[in-house]
Amino acid sequence: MNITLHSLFLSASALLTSVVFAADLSFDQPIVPVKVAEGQDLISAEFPFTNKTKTPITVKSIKVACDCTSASLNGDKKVYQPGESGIVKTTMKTGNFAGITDKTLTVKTDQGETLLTIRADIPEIVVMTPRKLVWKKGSTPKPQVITINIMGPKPIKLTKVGLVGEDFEYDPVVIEPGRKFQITITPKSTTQSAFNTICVETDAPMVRDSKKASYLTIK
Amino acid sequence: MREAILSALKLMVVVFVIALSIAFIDLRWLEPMRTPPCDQAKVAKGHICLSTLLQDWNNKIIWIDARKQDDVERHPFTHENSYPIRPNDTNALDLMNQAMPAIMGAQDEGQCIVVFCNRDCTSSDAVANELKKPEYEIEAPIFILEGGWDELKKDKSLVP
Repeated sequence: MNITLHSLFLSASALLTSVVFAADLSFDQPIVPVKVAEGQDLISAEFPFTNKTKTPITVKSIKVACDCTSASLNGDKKVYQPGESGIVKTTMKTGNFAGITDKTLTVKTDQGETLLTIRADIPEIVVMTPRKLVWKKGSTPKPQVITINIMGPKPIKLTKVGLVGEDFEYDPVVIEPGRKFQITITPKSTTQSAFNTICVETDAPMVRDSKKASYLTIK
Repeated sequence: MREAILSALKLMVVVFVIALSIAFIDLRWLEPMRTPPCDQAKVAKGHICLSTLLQDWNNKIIWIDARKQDDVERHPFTHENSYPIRPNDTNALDLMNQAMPAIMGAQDEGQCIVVFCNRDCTSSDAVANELKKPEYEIEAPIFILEGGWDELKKDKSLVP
């Protein structure tokens, strides 16, 4: 009797598993790469899908991973018949960090869930290098140079250069107006450990390009 | 004899129906709500389970709280070595500047950096990716806490 019950339970579990994890909506491209243009704050992406199963599928929710992303179904349609197609439309704020950024959303249906990703390639227009300058404690307080290059087609001005801390002298110079700047940093002394931040503000329209910082350490 | 077999069959059917119901409820409603124990061998690269983190780093941890400001205000994380960095806030750079002395000094202090957010939030990845950029030359290990705030709040020594 135990064996019979066990077999029955296994069969039931297998049946249940097949019901719960039945094939879901088929997305053409679950990861959509988007190249972000200079000054672009919002990007959009579309995720076309088709119900390739033999039963209707109801989209229950689309959960976005951050409040910088919104998502909706084309025409707000929820139920998709076998063979029917639809589109998940998303909009994403590009945020304050340049580089490759993934934003995800999860489409939950009555058959399961699918993770979708917008892979945004956000350009760095104002490039400040190096971001970390180090002087050894007790060494000669030699000047070091930070360079700021404008990589976009439009010229950008430095509107403010400031130091958080008081352990360094700094001297900003325009090398090529709108394109290249340099800041020479010199420690006042290297006898004691210190951590200061040199902050730069520009007239670039995007927050990620309008403020930059490099970190100065004596250790 | 026949009655005994029938009774046994009835009992089997009852047990089967009960088992089926429990299995269905568990799979359909309880399973999605249940947080499986974190297995370090199975987490994504760069992620760390809280148990591994506490075992390997004890209290040599710089916590970076990447949760939304609303969430932080409702459920604050008051650890002395914690710093907020919210990649989508307009003051993201100011927050990062406040955290940088600790982050850049982490290697010298034998500390690691752990970024956390809510379970399904991608801000941790954004912050970790930013901090891992070679130009910052941050040598201390940078991890993303698997399960984020949901895992953290289970530990009463960290979130009373």
